[in-house]
Amino acid sequence: MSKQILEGVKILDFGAFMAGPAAAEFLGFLGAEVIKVEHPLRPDGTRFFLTSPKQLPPDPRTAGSQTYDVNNYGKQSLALDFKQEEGKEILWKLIEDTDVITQNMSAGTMERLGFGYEEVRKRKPDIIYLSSSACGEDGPERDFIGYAATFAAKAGLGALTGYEGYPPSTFVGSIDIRSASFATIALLAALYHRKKTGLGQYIEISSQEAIAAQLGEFYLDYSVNGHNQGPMANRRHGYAPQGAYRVLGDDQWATVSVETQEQWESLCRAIGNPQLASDERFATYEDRFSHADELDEIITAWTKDKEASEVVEKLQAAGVPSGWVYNGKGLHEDPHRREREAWYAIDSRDLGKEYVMRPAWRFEKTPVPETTASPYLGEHSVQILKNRLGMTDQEIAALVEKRVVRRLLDYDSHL
Amino acid sequence: MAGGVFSGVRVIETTEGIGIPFAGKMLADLGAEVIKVERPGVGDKLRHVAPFAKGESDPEKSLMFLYVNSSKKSVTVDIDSPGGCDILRSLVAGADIWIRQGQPEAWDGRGLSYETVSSANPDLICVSVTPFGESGPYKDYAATPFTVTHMCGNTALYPHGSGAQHLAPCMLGGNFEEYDVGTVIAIGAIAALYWREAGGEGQYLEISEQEARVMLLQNENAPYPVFGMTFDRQGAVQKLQASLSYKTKDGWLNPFLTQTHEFASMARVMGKEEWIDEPWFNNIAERRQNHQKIADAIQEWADQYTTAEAVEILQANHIPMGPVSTPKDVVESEQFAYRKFFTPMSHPAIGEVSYPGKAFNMSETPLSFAPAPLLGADTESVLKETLGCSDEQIAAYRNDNVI
Repeated sequence: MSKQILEGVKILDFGAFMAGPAAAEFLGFLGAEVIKVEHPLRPDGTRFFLTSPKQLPPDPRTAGSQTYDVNNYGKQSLALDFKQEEGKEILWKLIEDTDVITQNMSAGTMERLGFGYEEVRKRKPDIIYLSSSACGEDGPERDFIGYAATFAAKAGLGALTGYEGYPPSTFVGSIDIRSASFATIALLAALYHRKKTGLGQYIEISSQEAIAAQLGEFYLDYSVNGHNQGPMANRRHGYAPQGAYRVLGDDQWATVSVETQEQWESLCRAIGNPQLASDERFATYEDRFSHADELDEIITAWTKDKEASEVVEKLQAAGVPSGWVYNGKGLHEDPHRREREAWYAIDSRDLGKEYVMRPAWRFEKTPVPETTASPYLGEHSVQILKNRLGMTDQEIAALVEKRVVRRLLDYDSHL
Repeated sequence: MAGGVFSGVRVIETTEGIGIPFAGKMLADLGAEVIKVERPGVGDKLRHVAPFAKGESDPEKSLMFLYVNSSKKSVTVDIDSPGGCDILRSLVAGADIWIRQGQPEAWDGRGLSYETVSSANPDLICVSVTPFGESGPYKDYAATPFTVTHMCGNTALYPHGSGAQHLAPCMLGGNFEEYDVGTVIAIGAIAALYWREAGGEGQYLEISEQEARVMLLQNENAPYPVFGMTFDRQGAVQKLQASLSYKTKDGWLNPFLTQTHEFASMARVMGKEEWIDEPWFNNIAERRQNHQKIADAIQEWADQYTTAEAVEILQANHIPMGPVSTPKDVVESEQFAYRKFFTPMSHPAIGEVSYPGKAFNMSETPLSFAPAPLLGADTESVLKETLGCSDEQIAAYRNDNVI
C-alpha cells in the first residue's frame, strides 16, 4: 500500500491567483499529481507579482515571484492554449486519465471554451470538478469585481477586526487561502465518495462564503439577538484579561490570556501584585471582562520595561497563558518550530532557497514528503505530451509554432 | 444523517472550544455520526460563553456552541473516573475516527493510550491535537487560542491600514483564526479516512494548532527568510495604491486598485477624466507618488453616497471596490440569501434560527445541518444501541456519576 495518501490521483489545475491554486497544491502535498495548465502567453498573473523591492522584477516565464511559488509548490506546468482546436484535443486526451479538475476562471469561461462540468462529465462521467469564484457562480453578485480583501470585507471581517473609532482594517492575500482550505475538504470528501461509489460530482465554492463560514456566530448574534457586533480588538468572551502588551523594543508585544480563576490568581502573584486577586473590581470573570481597560493598564505597567521573553518565561512558570507576538521574522526564528522542523528549505533556481511551511498533518504511516519548487512556465509540457499522449518532438514543435503549446526551451519567445 | 458522504463513519470527539470542534462539525454536516463526549453537568466550556440567545446565560443557549456543534450527538461521561474511561475506551473501540485534545501522557494515564486503543481497533484514525505539538520546548506551554494565534506571524499585520499601528496588534475579527485549526484538522482526518478506504489502515495523526494555522498564512511569512522582508500594520502598499478604506454617508468602502484601467474607470466615475491622458497617471511610479491626490478625490466622491449607492456605481464600472459589511449586512444580503447560505433550523432550546455557514456546494453529497445537541441528550441511546449496555448498567453508571 502506498505511503502517499493520494498516490495515483491526477489533478488538472486551471486555477490562477491564490485560492484556486492553493487547493490543488494541498492535494499535491498529500501525494496527488498536479498539472497546472497555463496559457502560453497569459499565464497565472501571480507570476508577475513583485515580492520584494530587493528582487528584480520577476521573469514570469520562471518561478521568480514568491507569491506564485508559495501556492504552486510541487506542480508540473503545461503551457497550453485550449482555445485552439489542437489544444482542445490535447486537453480531452488528458481528461480521459484525470480524476479532478480545479478552476477559478470568471463565470462561464470554462463553459464557453467547451470544458464546463456538463461537457467534461459526458466524456469522463466520474470527474470531480471544482469551480471557485468570489461571490458564487450565480446570484445578483456573480460578476462582482474585487480581490481577496474585498470578499473578506463583504463577509463582515472588516467590521469586526481592530479598534472602535478607526477606519476598518483591510486584508492581505492569505485571507484568500480560507477558500482553498474548505475546497480541499470538499475535494477529499468527493474523492472518498468516488472510492466508495464510483461517482464523481461538481463542487462549487465562493470566497465570501468560505470566509463567512468562519464568522457564523456573529450572524446568529444579529439574527437571534439583534446585536450587530463591531470591532473587539483582542478581547473575546471567555477570557479576561486578554491582550497584547507592550514590551521593550520597537513594536514588540507579549500576550496574556486568562481563562480560569486559578490563572487569574497566578497572574496577580507573577506580576508582584498578589493583593489584586482580592480586589473587588476584578473578583470574577465578569468583573474582569468589564474592567478590561484598567486591567490592561496594570499589566502594561509590568510588561513595558521587560523583554518579551522575560514576560513569557515568568508567566509560563506561573501557569499563565502567555506568548510572543510574531511577525515573519519571529515565526522563522521560533526555536520551538526549529526543533520540530516546522519549516524546511528547498532549492529554488531564482531565489537560491525557499522556505516551505511543513504541512501540519503529521501522519504516522503516510508522512507528507517534502515538496519541490514551483514550475517554470511550460516546464513539463514536453514530458506530459510525450509520456501521457505519446507525441513526437516534431508534433510538439508544430504545436509550438502555432502557439498552442509552450515549452521551457521557448524561453526567449514573448509573453 | 442518511445519505451524507460520511454516512456510516463514526467519530468520537473529546474536544472543546471553537476551532477543534469545528473539524467534527464539518464531518457531521457531511453525514458522519459524530459523538461529542462532554463532562456531566458542565459540558463543553463553550456552552458557557456569550453571546447567548436572547442574552439568557444557559448551557443550551450559547450561539457559538450552536454554530460549531451542528449535527452532532452529545453523551456526558466523566472521563476522570475509571467507569468513564471504560465507556470512552468502548466508544473509541467501535469508532472510525477519534479527535482528541491534550498531550498523549494525559490519555496514557486514563488507559487510553494510542497503543491500547489501536490494538483494540486497528482501523482507528486517532487525531491528536495540542497547541504546540507533542515535541519541542513549548509543548507544555500554558496556551489559549489567543496566545497561539499571535505566534503565527499574521497578527503583526492587523488591523491593516487603519492608522492604528501605534496600538497593539490584533487577531482577525470574530474568532476567525480559530476556525483555521478546524479546517486543517478536517482535511487531515478525511485524508486518513480516504487512505484507509483505499486499502490502507488506521493511524495516528498529530496536529499542532500553531502549525495548522501557519499552513494558511504562508504568503506573508515566506518572504522573510528569502528577502529579509517583514510586514507591518501600516498598509503602505495599499496606501500607495489609494486603497485604504473610504468613508461613505453610512459606512465604509474596501478598495483594491492596482491596474491602470481600474484607476481610469475610477477617474471617469468621479469626474476626473482629464487625469486619464496625463503622463503621471499612466506611469505606475508617478501614480503612486500622487496617491494622496487620488485618495482625496475618491474620498470626496464617496462622501456623497451611501455605501449601497457607491457600490452600485463602482461595480457597474467594473471597479474593484466593495462594501465593508457588518454581520447585519450579511444576514440581510440578497446574494447570501440567493445562495442559501442560511438554512432554517429549529433548535429545542433556542427555537427557530436562520442557521449560517454553507461553506461549499457539492452536487451529490451536499452539506446538511441539524441542530447542535442538548447536553447529554444521546447518552442513553448511545450506551444502549452503540455499546449494548443494559438498563442496569446505565443505572449503575448514573448512580456513580460516571455519566
